[in-house]
Amino acid sequence: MSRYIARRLLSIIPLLIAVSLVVFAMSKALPGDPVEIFLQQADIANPELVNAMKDKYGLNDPLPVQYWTWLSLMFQGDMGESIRRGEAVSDLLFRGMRNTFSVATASVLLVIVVGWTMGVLSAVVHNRSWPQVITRFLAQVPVLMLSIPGFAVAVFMVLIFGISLGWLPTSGVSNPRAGADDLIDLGKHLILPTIGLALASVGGNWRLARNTMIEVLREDYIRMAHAKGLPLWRVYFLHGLRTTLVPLLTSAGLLFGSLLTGSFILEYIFAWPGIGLLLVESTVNRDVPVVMGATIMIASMYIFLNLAVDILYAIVDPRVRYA
Amino acid sequence: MHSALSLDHPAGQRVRRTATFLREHPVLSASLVPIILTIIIALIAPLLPVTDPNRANLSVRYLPPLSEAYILGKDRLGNDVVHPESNPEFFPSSVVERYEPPIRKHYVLGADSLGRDIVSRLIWGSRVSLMIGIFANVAVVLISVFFGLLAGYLGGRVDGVIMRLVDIGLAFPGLLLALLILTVLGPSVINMAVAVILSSVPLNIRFFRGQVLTVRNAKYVEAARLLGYNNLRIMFREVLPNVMPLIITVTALNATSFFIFTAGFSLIGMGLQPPDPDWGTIMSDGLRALYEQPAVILGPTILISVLAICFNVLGDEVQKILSPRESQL
Repeated sequence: MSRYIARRLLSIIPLLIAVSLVVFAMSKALPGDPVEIFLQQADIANPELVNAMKDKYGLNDPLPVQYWTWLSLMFQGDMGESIRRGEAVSDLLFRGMRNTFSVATASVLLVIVVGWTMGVLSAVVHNRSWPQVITRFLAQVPVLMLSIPGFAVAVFMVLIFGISLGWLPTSGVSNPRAGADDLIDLGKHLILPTIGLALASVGGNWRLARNTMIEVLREDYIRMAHAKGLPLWRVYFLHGLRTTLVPLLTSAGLLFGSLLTGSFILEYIFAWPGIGLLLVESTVNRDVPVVMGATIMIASMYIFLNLAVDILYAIVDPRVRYA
Repeated sequence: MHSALSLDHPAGQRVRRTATFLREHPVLSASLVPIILTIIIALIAPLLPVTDPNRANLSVRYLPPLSEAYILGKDRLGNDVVHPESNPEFFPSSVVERYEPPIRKHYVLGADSLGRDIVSRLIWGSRVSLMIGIFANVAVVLISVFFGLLAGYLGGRVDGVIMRLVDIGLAFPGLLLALLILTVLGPSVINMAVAVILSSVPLNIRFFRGQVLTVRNAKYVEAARLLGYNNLRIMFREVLPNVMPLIITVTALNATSFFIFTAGFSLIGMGLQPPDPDWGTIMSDGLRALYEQPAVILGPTILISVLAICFNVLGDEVQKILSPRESQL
């Protein structure tokens, strides 16, 4: 087992290097000089100043030197300074990550609580002779949830709960009038982005849990559990759900990974100052150090999350180790 | 019996077979209706009696849906002067040629931030949304089938190189690679298509390679090899036809995501650039006016949702018909 983990760990090193090379190459392929763009926007035209700033940011060095400097500084936790905001990139990333992390965690919790529970319940209903309407409904709702794009759901929710009813805030993480650590205020701001992010995955996990549980509930050990006279919730959720946990946990783990990274459209709609919004704004402003730092961080996190899922698989299923 | 006779023609038979097929798969047919309708509208957009989607008129800014405005006359440039009131006393100085009486103009879905007719923007916008979807889909399938065949069939070093590149592509989750590409190329429609294509090619190559691997050692491939056919011929004449159903399935499944990606990128301002309309840019315009005129965003959002659901259902149905084994998952 430890040999498998060691081998997999070694295998991601070239991948990480390749990713950093791709990001570096892309940042160099950008048209327009970031320093000149910045000075232009500040209405300063001064070649000497351009050169001085380029020297300051090391933009006059040969490319391999620039790459090496960037990489070694990054390993020390120094990803440079945002050209646009003058702040350390690592600070910006940390702040963005914290906000993204809170909404991603809330989404995964929602997926597990609602998606899995509804999946088990609809499998139970499927295996009984309840009216067709209910069975069909419970099978089709998750498909509907899966199909509507998250940003469309977000817009509908903003219009209904934010604007028509005025129940919930529709943008940002906190009300300026509330204190910095007002948890109720944060919770209110979290509700709409969480649902927008999670809805498709709730549908996906609901469908997955339903389809696997339908088979599981026909097994002998479920009949045995019933025969022992266990309460129904124990039969379904402890004995039944447990055996389907591997695919479900995998999908929840990968969901967490993709939520940490791929939610910039939703963050844009809700003006949620997470990593996605930071990335979009930096892309528009061509704030190269931020884009590089964010991409590297997101990609490496994603690589490690995939690795963790693979190792979990290997622990659960020994056949994987020898494949 | 004339109609029965005509149905015996090859063309008639095809029509009849299609009709039977559609009747046997009602869900698939239902999901096709909005898609085909949108395609038709997109195709005949220039023939429809709608105004220029980019014609701005600030006097009807954020006009609510189902309201009407009046074309009072023409200004010096020959453009219509539209105004929400038909008051005969009211006569803006820009009007040089006055219509008597003013012509009524209906704004079924209202007007946006620049007073442009949302209906005509939606109609013209459907062209961009669909065109990119189709173009990206075809490109992705062609590229990934080609490299999937090379990697899966030839194996060895070719496989190694292609798959290492694929691994690098897959290390960037979701649309991160697309965003990175758009940062370099700058926002525009073509660049968005390129970004979407490049970021979804790796996953598709891996998928097709896997499928090629399953047929690679089949008896008929071995027979072709024994007959002395060259690799190219075996790849495209023996292996390709056997992964064909999967290609159709993947195309159908990809359609949803490309459609959503393009709308999403336009929404965050990385796709089509204003003033040209596509459904994403109309949404993005509406997003800025959520409190002033929520109706602006409602139209494109509903359309995108309906089409996304239809594309998704279509993909599921095609998968069920063509590759029932995979659809179990």
